[in-house]
Amino acid sequence: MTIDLTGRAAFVTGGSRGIGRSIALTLAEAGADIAINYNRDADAANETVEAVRALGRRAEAYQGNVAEFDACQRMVEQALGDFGAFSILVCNAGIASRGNRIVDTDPDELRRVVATHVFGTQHMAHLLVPQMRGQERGDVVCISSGAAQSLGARGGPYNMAKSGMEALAYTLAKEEKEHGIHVNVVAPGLVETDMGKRLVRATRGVEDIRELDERSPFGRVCQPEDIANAVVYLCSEEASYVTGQRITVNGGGF
Amino acid sequence: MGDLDGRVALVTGGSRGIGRGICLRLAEGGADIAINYHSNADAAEEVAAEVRALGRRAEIYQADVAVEEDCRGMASAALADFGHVDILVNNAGIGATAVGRPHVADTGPEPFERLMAAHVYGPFYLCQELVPQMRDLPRGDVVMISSVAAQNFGATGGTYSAAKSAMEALAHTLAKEEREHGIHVNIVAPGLVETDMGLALVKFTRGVESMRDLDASQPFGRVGRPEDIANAVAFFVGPRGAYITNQRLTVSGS
Repeated sequence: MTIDLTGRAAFVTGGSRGIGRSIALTLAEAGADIAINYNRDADAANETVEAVRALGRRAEAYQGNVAEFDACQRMVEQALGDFGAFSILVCNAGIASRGNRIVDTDPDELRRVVATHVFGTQHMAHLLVPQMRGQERGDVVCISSGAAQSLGARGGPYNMAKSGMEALAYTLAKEEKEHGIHVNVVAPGLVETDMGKRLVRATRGVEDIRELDERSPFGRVCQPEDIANAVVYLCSEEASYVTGQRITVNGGGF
Repeated sequence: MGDLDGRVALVTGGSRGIGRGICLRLAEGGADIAINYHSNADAAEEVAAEVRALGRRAEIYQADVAVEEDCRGMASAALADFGHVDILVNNAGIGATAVGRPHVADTGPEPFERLMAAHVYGPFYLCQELVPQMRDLPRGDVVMISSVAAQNFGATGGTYSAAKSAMEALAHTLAKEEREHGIHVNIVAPGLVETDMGLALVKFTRGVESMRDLDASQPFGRVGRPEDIANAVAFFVGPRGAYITNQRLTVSGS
């Protein structure tokens, strides 16, 4: 059965590159119009917008740091002006932490990572969920990480931020169910993105992430599309009785 | 043409309820279906006719999954008929209500043995028979239909919760053992679903005569449907689940 999201509009944070870009394109392939947020890379954002438009869907890009409430407010105001309404919010924008032990972590780094993942998600939910309540259906999907399950050493800020983000999601799911809003979590492991490439360079000294294919689950490093496919499923009719859940897309996590 | 073209699925307990929904959903996706039933041959024939009406092949197999020879015989027969089985869905089950919902301390071993045989030994025998031939296929999938009982552990449900938990342990272990052969093992955990078993449960525990009496009090204003569960199974075994194994998805609206 084909998933059909025609008539829906999605706001995807961190949508210019990597996983966010793939989510934007996959939702658009299923028929949704797409607003993407980006922070720094305007060229990448424009390229993603063009790629969505090439699929025959509407697309616009909005610059802003989701960690800042004022920026979120400005973006959402513009986007609602452009699209009228959003029934899908994908909180994907994220930053990695620096690989220090907790006792060696600069509190500013912790605050920055938490601000992006936890406060960024709260900002967007605060701004977009109320207008979802009057719609036939609403969906919030939070892109977390397997890090919130493995809680590995030297990942403190990221582990804490993603755990906080998931707590927000499961709470929001309970609060908004009566309004027909679904809130779910997708948790990727290592994915071939700029962030994933930096991670394996820093932690394993691997220059080309594809060198890891042979040792990876199912013989390949996870691709952004694998994550996007889970997001599209969760936003579809097929998952109309699924909320408050987490799907880990990491080839099994072992 | 569908996502599951060329694949064959064996669905236990496929004649009614959730199993019937899974047979039809996988057939819609393009799979041929081996339908197991225990006692209701007419219902199984009806599902087979519906699958054939979708243009797919269907055969029915009588077997009590609690009986080892039945499982082994059914697996051989299905392999002889279809040549291969790519997807095994272990769905057949008995509810705790069928054994009187005894308190753990107040019952002899018989009800525990009965449910353990159906939910754990049956899937174990079928995995032994069918997983080895999956190793040579482009992809193999095993999906266990568990239950929220294996996360809630309600009083009077001990027979069922213990069996479903052991079934989940089987799944998580098998996932690790077989990934290198391209085999995915996942779990779908339904809550209350509109089936004969679900109705028996709510008649016993809540004294209601019809599921419709419960709709208003249920998530998203309705009791879960077999299609909700079938859609999750189709997600896991289809191309959208290509990088997913060892996962558990609760489909209960909460």
